[in-house]
Amino acid sequence: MTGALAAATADVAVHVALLAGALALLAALLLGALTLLLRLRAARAERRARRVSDEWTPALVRVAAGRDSQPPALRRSDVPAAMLLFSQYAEALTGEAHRRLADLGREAGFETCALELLARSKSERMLGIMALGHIRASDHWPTLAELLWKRDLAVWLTAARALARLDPVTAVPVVARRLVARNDWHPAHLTRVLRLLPADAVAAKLAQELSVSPPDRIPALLRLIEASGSPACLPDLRRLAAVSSDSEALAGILRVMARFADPADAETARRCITHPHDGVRVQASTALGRFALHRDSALLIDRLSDAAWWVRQRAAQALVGAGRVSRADLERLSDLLPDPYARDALTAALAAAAHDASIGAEGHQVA
Amino acid sequence: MSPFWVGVAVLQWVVLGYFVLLQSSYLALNLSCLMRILSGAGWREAEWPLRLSSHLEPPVSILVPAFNEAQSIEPSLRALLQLDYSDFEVVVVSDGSTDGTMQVLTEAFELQPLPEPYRVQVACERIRGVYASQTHPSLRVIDKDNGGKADALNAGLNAAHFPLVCSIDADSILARVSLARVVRPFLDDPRTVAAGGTVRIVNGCSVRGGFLERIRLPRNLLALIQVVEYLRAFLFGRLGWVPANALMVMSGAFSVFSKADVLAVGGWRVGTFGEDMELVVRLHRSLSREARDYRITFVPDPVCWTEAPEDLRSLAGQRIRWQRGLCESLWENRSLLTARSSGLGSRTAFGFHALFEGVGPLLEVAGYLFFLTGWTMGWIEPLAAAAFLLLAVGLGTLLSVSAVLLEELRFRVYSRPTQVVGLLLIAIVENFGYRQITAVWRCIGILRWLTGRDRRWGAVKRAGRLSDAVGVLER
Repeated sequence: MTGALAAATADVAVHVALLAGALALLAALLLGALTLLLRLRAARAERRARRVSDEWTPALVRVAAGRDSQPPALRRSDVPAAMLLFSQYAEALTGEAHRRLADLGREAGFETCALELLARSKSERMLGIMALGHIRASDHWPTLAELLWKRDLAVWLTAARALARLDPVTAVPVVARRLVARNDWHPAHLTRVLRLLPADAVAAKLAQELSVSPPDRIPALLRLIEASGSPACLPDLRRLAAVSSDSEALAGILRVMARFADPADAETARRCITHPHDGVRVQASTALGRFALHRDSALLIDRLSDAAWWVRQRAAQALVGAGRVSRADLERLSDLLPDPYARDALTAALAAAAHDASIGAEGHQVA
Repeated sequence: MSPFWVGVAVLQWVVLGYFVLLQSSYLALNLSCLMRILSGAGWREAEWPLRLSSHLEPPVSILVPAFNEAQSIEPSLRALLQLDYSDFEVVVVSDGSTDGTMQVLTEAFELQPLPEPYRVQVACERIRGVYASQTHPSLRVIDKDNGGKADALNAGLNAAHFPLVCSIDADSILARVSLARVVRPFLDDPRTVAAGGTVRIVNGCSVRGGFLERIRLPRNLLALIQVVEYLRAFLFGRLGWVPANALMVMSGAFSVFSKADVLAVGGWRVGTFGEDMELVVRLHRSLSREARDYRITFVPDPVCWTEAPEDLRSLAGQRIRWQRGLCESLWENRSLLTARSSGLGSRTAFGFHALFEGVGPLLEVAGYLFFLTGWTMGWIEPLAAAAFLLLAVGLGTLLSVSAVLLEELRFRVYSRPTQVVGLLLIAIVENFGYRQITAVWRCIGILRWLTGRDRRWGAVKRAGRLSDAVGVLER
């Protein structure tokens, strides 16, 4: 009985294997044919893109330079390729040249195509959003503003930039509100949006947010303020530093202060140079170095003996970089320092500075 | 029917079942990868505005471990220093090279000793000296006692200035935008702790000034088969795991990590053959234990090109080492499978790798032997043997062809229709001999891992440009 069953199952196994193998081979053949078809279709698309580029590149250059205003004739199937080329040029231009290209984009009928692309794949949607921004299609502000609620960072970024191109002043509160609501930003992304907006208006809006945000949002807001590139928030930061007990917030405030290097902030840095948290002391040392005030050299020399490695390094870099104490004096100081860790930190900073000077490089800001 | 014949029938089912389960798992990964590729497909060129050129890209320390790379180190470094990226440093670690690597570096880049504070955060062999280039401010070289690739990476990690570290082989060939591409996941998702890139085969391509100039398929059959094999491994073998955040393997030839997280887990593990995979599995284990919301991800775009071995002996050595590395990584981190903190994705991926990549070659070779012996001895009907062969070839071809299709859908690296036809043909040819012999090599790797034989930096005979890269290549 068992033997018969085994024989029967083995027989079934063979047939299953034969069938599955044949099906797999058939599927492989079909996929292979599909791959070849795709290759041929892609080759056709590449030829079309080359042709569009040959026709449109000189035209875009002429229009941007103000020597022409008419777009070349365009087949409907060529519109996305032409729009991509247009957007690449428009992205690189500003002022009058950008305005002339925007006129050309409207004339070429990119608006309709861009709206159609909004319903397609992510990449095509991004191209549509970008084109609407470049041709300054103000009628579609609500459509673009709605995209600011999308979770996808790339789509959000493109929509924010498009809104900033349509109307930078009106875009500030809309974009800033959403910027503050998200915390998955990288400074590189922020910069790409913020540099299209009026920096002081952004900073003022962020300062408002600073006063009403819960403590756990402060570090993210500080990153936004830093990326805005405007020192307009500094008075608000000074007020916050005076009352904040959160070390992460304090370190962030000092980092922003170091970035703008306003000597009015030196007092905050001096107060924080002995803070119990080493992250705060690191930023305070860096900030004091940036303010480059002679009276702070003694504070930085004290930090050369700090228990934390990073604080010692930053204090040494700040001393060397500030340039308020001569190199010869620092070398003498290094010889006299009783603490070997302090000596190591200062010697290394001096050597790194000498190395950078010898090759004419800017010193690296280490992480 | 005697118990012997019952046993043969049962074994037939077991072998068949294993093959079907194995190939079905790969097909499932294939589907996962297809979904991901299709969601990001469409008009890829439209993503160019996301190319970041601001000075605020996160700075990266590129770690280049080098052991006896005097022949190739200079052009490789010159290419690295030309990467299209706003802020990076290159830290070359000469791991006790004895072929004049340090001399070549000193002369080519005008190295001078730099009394830099060397902070030992992860243990490594004795540092002989730290040098800085007088001609390239972003280049530093560490000369140290020999300790292996992982030890060299740890030495570089200690010296790295920046929050992201990129591990790279001294012989990797990159595109100018490679670093920008592989860093993008860190910009797009702050939870990212590691990102790997796709490695492709450089054999047959023309390389100029350390960069890829023209992409062609290799003429050597072994290298050509490896092109399809790499497509499978890097497309669905890796990308397929990304949606579940369960990527277990990243190539040491080009991967970026958050320095703080690598330091937190103790750096690369010294004394393993697969330090790249081991680190990734350990990161999974450690971060899931901390209940951290993290991402280990993969960039499917081709970012790194490496030379594949063109002779059987070198290929055998490479595959044996890779299998050993895989076994070591899985064994050292076996608690990932059982720990409560491990997510479902990590457990599934770990189980998959243990069953199909770790033990799989033994079962595969046993299956081949069983059918071959059974057929010769008359235990198995010729039809049954033919059915098994058809199934193995059919599913194997289907997987390889789908990898070529994925490549065509998204990357189109091989642009001529004849190249695509060549790859499709190879997808069939590799099933007759190549797959079987690699399974045998992998079995040898398992045996060597079990017996602990032969622990050295391996050397592969290359066509001239490059040296060895230790890594793990799945099917």
